[in-house]
Amino acid sequence: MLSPAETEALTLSLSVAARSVLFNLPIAILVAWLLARARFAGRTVFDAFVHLPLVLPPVVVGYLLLVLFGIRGPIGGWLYQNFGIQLAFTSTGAALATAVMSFPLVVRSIRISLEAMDRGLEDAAKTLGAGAVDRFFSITLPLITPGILAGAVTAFAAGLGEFGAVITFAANIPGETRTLPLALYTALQTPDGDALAARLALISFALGLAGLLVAEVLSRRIRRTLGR
Amino acid sequence: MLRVQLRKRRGDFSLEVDFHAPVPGVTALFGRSGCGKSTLISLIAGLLSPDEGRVQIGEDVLVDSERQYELDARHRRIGVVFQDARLFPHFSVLGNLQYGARRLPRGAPTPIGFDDVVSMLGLGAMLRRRPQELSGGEKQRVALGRALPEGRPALCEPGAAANGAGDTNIDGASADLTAALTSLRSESQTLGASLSTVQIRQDFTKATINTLQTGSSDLTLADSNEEGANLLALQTRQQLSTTALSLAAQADQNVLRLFQ
Repeated sequence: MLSPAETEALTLSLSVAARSVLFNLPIAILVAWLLARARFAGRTVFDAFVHLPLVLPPVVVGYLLLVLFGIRGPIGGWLYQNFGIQLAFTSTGAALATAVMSFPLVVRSIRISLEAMDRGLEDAAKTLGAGAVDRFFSITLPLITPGILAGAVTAFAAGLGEFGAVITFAANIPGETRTLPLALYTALQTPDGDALAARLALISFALGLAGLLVAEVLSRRIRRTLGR
Repeated sequence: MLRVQLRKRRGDFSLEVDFHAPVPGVTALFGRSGCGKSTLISLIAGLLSPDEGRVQIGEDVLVDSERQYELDARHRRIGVVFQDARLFPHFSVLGNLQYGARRLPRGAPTPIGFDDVVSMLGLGAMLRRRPQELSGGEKQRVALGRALPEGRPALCEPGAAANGAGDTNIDGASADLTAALTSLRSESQTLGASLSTVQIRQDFTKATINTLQTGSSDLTLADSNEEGANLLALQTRQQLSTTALSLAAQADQNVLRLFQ
């Protein structure tokens, strides 16, 4: 049904989006917690900084990543020399670029559920002998799962379509960084590529729809177990 | 003996407390809503820090601002039954009841075993249920059962029902209060314990708690017409099991209303 190139673009998209979510979650939970609970100097600036990818052109984000994580960049160079890890122009780099772009969405979703959570429950846990880390894992984390999951699903869905940051930082390499939107773009640049572009658009469409349905079912199930 | 002597400012409200209450014993604390009863509970439980002062149970000092000492709430082992129950929605009743017990220090003495809690409060049939499937009274019983094994005084907050009455109808609230106190007193008499009442007087921005009457509460009841409102019971150790038992038995009567 799908041509090898189409399958390749599809699986690559899925894998890049999934890895971007994995990159995102631990840091997003930490940042959301800082923004929702901690009081520190420069919090407003930090908040704005976290939301930057939403307002910056994706190409700018890709460019900044190239400056920082490129093989001659301060972080990228260090990673390459010490661990032989190269991010620019690799599929891991594509996942990183995707993760940075969707980061604000995940933080926002987790932060909202942290702020909506009844902090009295944490106080109750404290009187029952639970320490800070214990309280976080036994009370806070389970209760914000809907927010984490919603954030993860949104990031995954948005990650399937990330274009600008990926093509700037990771380029358009078949089998490595050519995800669905990049394949579609390539098809449009090719003479007689119209049919292929249409098919790729359809795949994207089906994928997006399936993602939204899965998200809805999951969030309903979780809400039921949490009794909301 | 529970000794509380502290001062706490919150915005333009300030609370000054100086009283002592027998341990073991049942102490009823009352005053208009907003006068600081729940704040006092939080201060004793360690969820709030006093600006200055000292709280002590027997020889154990919980807070002492002079010595800059403050025992963390999680180490105080004071069970709290909150006004809004605060059951953990993602655990079953069983999970809620075991939450504190699992976190007791190894070998710590506990005044009451799990099986006793379940049978006294009649929780056996609802262990697998989720808090959101319980009625208000059932939730409160689970909250009480969750707090009991903590070992030190169980602090209970008054109910929303009593609060509402206090706000709208002082006379009605006083009737509630009278009934509740009478019932609490007869209960303490059956238990052979003394009931003491502590009244919070309030002039809007400043509440001072220093009235203490031990034994008969008739005198305090006479005052309650102006003060109205809410009761808060402070139960202490040896009494827990029997009081809990009578609470369960009188589930729909006045005493439990104190705790709802």
